[in-house]
Amino acid sequence: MLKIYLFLLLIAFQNAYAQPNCNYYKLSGDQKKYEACKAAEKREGHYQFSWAYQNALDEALAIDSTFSYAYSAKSTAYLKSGDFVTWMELMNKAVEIAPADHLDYRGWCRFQFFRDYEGAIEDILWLKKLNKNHIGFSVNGDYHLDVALALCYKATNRTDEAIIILENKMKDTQFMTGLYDHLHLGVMYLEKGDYQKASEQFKMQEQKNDLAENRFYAAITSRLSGDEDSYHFHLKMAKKHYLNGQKMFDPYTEHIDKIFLTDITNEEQKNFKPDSLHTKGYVLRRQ
Amino acid sequence: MSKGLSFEGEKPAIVSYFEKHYKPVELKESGWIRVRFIVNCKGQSGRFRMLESDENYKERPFDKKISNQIFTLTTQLSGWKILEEKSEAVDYYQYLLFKIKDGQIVKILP
Repeated sequence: MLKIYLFLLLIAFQNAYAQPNCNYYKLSGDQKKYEACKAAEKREGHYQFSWAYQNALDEALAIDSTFSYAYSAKSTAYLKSGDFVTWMELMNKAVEIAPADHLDYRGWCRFQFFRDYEGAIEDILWLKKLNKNHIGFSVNGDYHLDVALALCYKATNRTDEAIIILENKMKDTQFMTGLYDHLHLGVMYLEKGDYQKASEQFKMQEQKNDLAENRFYAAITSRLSGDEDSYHFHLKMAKKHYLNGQKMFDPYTEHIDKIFLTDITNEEQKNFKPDSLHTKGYVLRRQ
Repeated sequence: MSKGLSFEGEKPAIVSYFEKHYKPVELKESGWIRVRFIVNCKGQSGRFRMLESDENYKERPFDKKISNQIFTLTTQLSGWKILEEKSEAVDYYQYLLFKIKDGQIVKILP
């Protein structure tokens, strides 16, 4: 009975992103995969780009070439160094063997590192089909993959579809919004000219995780709504937050909707004057 | 752990530089070009290496009219900040990844 309980517990851990628990394979009778998994463990403590790290994973694959985790683990060093050709070769092998286990990572990286929106959409939709819509989070934990999907739609001029995804997500009582979800939805509303909804989302972002970005876009919304006091206040806060480092940050890539200091200083020069060719809605830069 | 892109004027300065100097090539070639290099303890870049692929991430060279421009412009780009670790200036690897669509740069990453 204890063995069955442990087995079930290991299945739960098996679905996590991290190194699989090797005992799962042993208990399920897959000795070859168990040995491959143990070989892969030898990479621990070594630098990801080092020979020792990569060699441990190569040894694992020599034992069992269908140990898909090893392909994925090998690939990360190549991704970080910019060798995307080798990264994709490895990830394609991982996905071919076990798509449900690796489409989340491949899809997310296609979006985050390459702005390969159509490729990311393809991977995430495939994963949704395999896992009955239970698709989990990005590897860095910042985004639910449905939010990533919405951002891909927005970037490919399908903002209306993107809004629907985010609105449905936020209606789900089981869903806890991520670090930037309200900001992104606010920017989508801003693009479509729905300034009231945009403003509400930026307020929610402020309460959850106040950044230069939500303040900047709140300032833009205020300008387009004719609220001069709020405009100056939010723009001042945007600059203050930016200079204090209170802004969107990822060590490897740039977030969608991220702003820079020049965006703030350019806006300061406008001094509440509307754009001369103003039409409803606003896009800072098409991603 | 990377500290993100460290460039004078941040990413907009890099984008602006390529917008100013890269001449779009009218060819139906799309994919990615990555130029990787080292920034030394004085903020100088060197040891450039290029990698080119099609839209399926398969290695494939672009027409020289595209790749030579990107490579040369990257080598001439100056403004990389000095990275310090434990108060000492160190060398670091950096790359720029260009998403190309029909001979035009549509995105510069990271």
